[in-house]
Amino acid sequence: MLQLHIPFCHGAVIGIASVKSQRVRKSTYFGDDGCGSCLDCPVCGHHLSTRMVSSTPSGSTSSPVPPTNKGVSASSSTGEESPSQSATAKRVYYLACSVCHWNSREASLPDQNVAKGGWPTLENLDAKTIESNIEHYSALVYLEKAERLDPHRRALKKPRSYYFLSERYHASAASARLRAGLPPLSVPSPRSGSDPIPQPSRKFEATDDLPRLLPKLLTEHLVLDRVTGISERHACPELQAELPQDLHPIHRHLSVKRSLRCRSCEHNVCRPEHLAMAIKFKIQNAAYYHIPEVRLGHLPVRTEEDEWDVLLIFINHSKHEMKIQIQDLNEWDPEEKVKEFQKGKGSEKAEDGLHVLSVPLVLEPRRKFEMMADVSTLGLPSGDIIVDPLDEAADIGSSSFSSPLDPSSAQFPVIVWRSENKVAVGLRAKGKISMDASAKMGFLLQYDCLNKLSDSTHSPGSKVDTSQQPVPVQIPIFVHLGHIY
Amino acid sequence: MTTVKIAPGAVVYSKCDLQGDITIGSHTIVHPGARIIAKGGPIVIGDCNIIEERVTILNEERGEGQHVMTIGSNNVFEVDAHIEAMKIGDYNVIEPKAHLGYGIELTNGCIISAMNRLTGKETLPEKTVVYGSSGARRLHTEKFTSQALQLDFLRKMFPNYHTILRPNKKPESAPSAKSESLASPAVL
Ligand SMILES: [Zn+2]
Ligand SMILES: [Zn+2]
Ligand SMILES: [Zn+2]
Repeated sequence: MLQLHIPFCHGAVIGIASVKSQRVRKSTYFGDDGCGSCLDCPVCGHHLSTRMVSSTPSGSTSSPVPPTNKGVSASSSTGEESPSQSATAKRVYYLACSVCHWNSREASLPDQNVAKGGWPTLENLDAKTIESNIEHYSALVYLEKAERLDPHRRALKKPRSYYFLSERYHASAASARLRAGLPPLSVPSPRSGSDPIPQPSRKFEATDDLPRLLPKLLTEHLVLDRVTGISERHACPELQAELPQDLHPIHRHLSVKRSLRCRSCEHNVCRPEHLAMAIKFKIQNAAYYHIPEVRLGHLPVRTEEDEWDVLLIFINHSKHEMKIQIQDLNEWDPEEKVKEFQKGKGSEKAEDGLHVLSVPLVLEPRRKFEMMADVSTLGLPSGDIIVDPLDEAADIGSSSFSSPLDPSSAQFPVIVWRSENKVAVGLRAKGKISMDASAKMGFLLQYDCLNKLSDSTHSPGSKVDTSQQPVPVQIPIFVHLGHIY
Repeated sequence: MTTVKIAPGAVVYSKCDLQGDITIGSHTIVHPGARIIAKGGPIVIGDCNIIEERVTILNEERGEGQHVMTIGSNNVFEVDAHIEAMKIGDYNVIEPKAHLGYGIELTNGCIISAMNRLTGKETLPEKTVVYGSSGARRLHTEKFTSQALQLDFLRKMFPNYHTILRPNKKPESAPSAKSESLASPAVL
């Protein structure tokens, strides 16, 4: 499996429909890990939005357009021109943070004539030195990894090992430049004698000569508003402005998305999708309202030798009451279930969408083996657990979050608490786990699925028929409990 | 006893929970579901404020006589804000679900971000921003902004959808002794 790490920017991806333009935006990196088009607030790290004001031809800027009364909605990058301005008024733009209300005028950055880009960037005087040092050390790291991981490949002098590694360990812009500068066949190899490692223009050296503490720090009264905080300084480690007026917008750091690709046929096995148009996203989005969500409540707590308490939270996102059952994994027999269901409803029409929903995943024997659980699950409840439907108004209403367990509402001793559309179920995992293995616990979740898609297709006059009948659906669920020992 | 004095131009939803001696200044808009409760003394609200849904403005009984709670002008209290601060200046924005305790005093142009909770005894300097999940603070440099457009819009739209209380206070702001308060919601 080939892993690809693709850096991308959340800000630039949002609102871009086609994958192609996404790729174009993606390629405009700023430096090693900054987006060229997005800027973040130097004070709080929130996304900076562009505000527009009208300035008179004389150059003096008028008062900024009053933001809307909602701080949240001000994040849109448009403003309104005040009607009193004459037609000759020029539009200028400045940056503002809607969270902490920092704006680019505080940094005495000049207002811009264009809405996007053009903001001056502070040059770090040592940027070149740092960059060459990073190149030097990343080359060393590649060399080391090549030696440690791939002795055979190196012995065969296959040129692709270098590419393989750089793809695997996040090819940054620096390493990409490094890679491009190398002839394709020169695999870093200590035996080859040649030294492809770029040398830094100026090496870093440790020094004992530290600047002394300024005496004014001890003698002058400290006004917190006139100095920058540690988080503000660390947000931009290479510049570390000491005064608030020296704070500069930060180029948004890129995130990395990981995709898996088959080595032989280049088929994308796992591709992260950020687009609302993507089929995968649509399926997940639709499923969200039909399938109970399962969350691990807290880290497993060891109670006895080889036993752990596991808290699972089941969340019902549908607008119907949901009955769930937690069963032993051994009871899972998908083919049996299908037969049983078809026998029961054999006389009915097959084009009903329900049949599709009721067919569980049939796995090949090989994959079934992979899905074995490491630890057995104890304390399975014997009956139905009822999860209340999602009540959207409850969120706004009385704050009844995490209500303590009311003994009368507990159907089983396994229910630890329930609140709104959530039920926390305590289970117990038992089994032997080695120190460095991640425990996997498995159980069968059966829930009643009500097909709401067919609700809308039925004409109002027709009788309530089988589509209103909940269909039991079984899903094997495996929970990674992490490194417990 | 409930005495609500509403200045001309103010728009107050008729079924708001108003208790005690309350004065609402002109052009102030009180949304449905807002609660203004003056138990420990009168509440005086200035002009051009926006008090949104589920906002609670509470002058709690604290023994030892009556204390007046004063709120200036051009403030915005957003959804579900909880105010017990006895003195609030002008041009402040209290964002949703923010909480201002009894001992807090706001000067002018302060912005309290959503969910932030201020308690204890403190006077916030002008243009303080309390932001983020940990209540970080800084001073902003933006100008005082009034909500004129929003107020205009609400004043026009509000009577189309809600019944409102009729202004009962003379423009000269003569203290009217009339105790008819929730008596006559304007029929539209
Ligand atoms: Zn970006
Ligand atoms: Zn900010
Ligand atoms: Zn393949």
